[in-house]
Amino acid sequence: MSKRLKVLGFGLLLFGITVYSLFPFYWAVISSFKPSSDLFSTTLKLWPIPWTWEHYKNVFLAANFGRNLLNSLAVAGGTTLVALSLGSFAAYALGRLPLHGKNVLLYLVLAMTMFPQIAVLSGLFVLLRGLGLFNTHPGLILSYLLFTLPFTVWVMTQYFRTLPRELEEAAYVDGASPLMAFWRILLPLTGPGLVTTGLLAFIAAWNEFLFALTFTVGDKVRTVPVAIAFFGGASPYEVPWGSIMAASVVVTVPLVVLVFVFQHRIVAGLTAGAIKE
Amino acid sequence: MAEVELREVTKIFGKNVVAVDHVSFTVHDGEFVVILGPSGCGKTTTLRLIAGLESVTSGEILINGRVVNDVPPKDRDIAMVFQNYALYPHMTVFDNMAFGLKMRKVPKDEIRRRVLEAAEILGIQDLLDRKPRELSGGQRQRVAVGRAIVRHPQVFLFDEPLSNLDAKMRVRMRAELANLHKRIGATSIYVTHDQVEAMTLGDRIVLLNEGKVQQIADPLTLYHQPLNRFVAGFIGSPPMNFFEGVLEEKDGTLRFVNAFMEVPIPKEKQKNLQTGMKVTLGVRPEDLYHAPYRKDEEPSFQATVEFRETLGNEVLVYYRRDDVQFISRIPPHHIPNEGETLEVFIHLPNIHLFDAESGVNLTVNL
Repeated sequence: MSKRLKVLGFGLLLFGITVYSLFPFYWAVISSFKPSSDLFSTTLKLWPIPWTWEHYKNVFLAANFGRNLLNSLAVAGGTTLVALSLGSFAAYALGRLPLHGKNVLLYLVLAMTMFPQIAVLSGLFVLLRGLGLFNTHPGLILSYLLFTLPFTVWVMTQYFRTLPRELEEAAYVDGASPLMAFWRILLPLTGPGLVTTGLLAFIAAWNEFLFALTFTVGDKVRTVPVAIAFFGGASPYEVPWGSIMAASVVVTVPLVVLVFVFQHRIVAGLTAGAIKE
Repeated sequence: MAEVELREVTKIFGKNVVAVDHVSFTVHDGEFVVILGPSGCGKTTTLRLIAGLESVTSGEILINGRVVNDVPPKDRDIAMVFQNYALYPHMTVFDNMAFGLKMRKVPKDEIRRRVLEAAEILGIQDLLDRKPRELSGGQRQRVAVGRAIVRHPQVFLFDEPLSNLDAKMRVRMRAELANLHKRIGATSIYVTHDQVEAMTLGDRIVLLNEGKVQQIADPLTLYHQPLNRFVAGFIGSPPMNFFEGVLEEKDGTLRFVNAFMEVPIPKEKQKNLQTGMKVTLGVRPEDLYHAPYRKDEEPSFQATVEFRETLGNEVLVYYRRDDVQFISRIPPHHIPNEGETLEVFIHLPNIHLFDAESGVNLTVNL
């Protein structure tokens, strides 16, 4: 009896959490399909009838939204690539090489994530302007490494630590140089880690708002989150909820697709069969 | 093929953990040498030093007369089979075996030919497209060996390759390794803690303890002429029985004497012995038996049967006399009863006498 109650309670809890976390997204989706007049109706409508493509048309036809999407893609993709390549090299060194002061280094890396974005904003601004990277994709990528690289290094270091030492040694005996052993043997085995951290880095960069707002001017480099915030209505008294919702859905879908595509790759036990435990 | 030589090789970990202590030996071209010893004796470290996975603290390692102390593993032209196989989990069996050849830029068709050849020798042709996780322990072991033999290296190194297999598979792979060595004839160094593997596989055995070489000899010499008490006690299962006592002269013959034994020492074993010496008498279990197995006039003493282990083809009888326990190994025809007190006889030609202090065998190399 008490066991059934437990199962029931657990089910209810799960249901509650699911509704709590998914309802806002559901509301955004149905709002993006409701005609503007329905958006402000006081009767609760959980289903968009009648429905319309109008907001999606507005988003893509009126503003430079396509350009913003490409910018987001370039910046998030670039951030992910740079974070993964720099991060895995650093993680290999920190996870596997006999270095002195490894832990100090790791905690220094972690410490960088302590500062709120706003605290480094002005410094970064001066830096980017000095480097001539203000209002450029590389400039945004560089600033995003500030929060993506530390956790990439941390997570990948843990992954490298778990790989059996013998694999690397077998590669050396087989005639591989350290770089070859890293590239051909170790890196492929950290695949799940690369996918996980890559995904997280991509999402973080995709969603980032404050740096994108500060370090871009105009739609040439501006990314989607900022672009949405700049959406204007037909009059000063109108907030274009429909377009905002439609744009939000458009930017969320790629992330959902990415997670679904890669969830199969985020599997444990890729090293199964390497050694006998 | 190649010769491997170690000259006074020492490895110290950290400040003062001496893992390998002035070890010297030579492995001749085509020879199969086993490094044997209890766990922590430095045998695996010695192998890793030869492979170049650890650097020596002092001394020299030579392969074909060339000092390789500072040569990285990839340039030593050795192959190593690891205890836990260390197969590359993301590669197929074929790619696992081909990896070393690819690294050495061997042409594609030559790689294919050599991998297929090795796969045939090991009987794993059907597994070439599988991943390591789809293989059984014995199959993984074969792939690990295959990865070594496709390379045609100067030297094979084996680090306890059979210790992760179950008992039956271990016996089978042991025979296969012996056959393989006969067929390929490559210089091989094999590390194990299992004396049966060492005795059956090794042309010669290097017995290590606490980082020091105890004895280097072929299996039979190691068994019949152990240089010290450690070797005598380590080789042989069940181990040699030891009795403490002193040497005394009685009725014109030198005798080993303690509270319950009086054993005359054969003339040919007396060269290094003197009256009054404190010694340890070593007798193998098969050289101790009760009356039915008595060979001729032999010294004897009384002891009580504690318990027996019947193994089918032989019986191990555990005796006790005062505080001393010892084992007798006899054929299964006359089995004494538990609790029985019997006359136990000693086969004199095979006894050993060790210096009680240093453990040196005083009755070999006469």
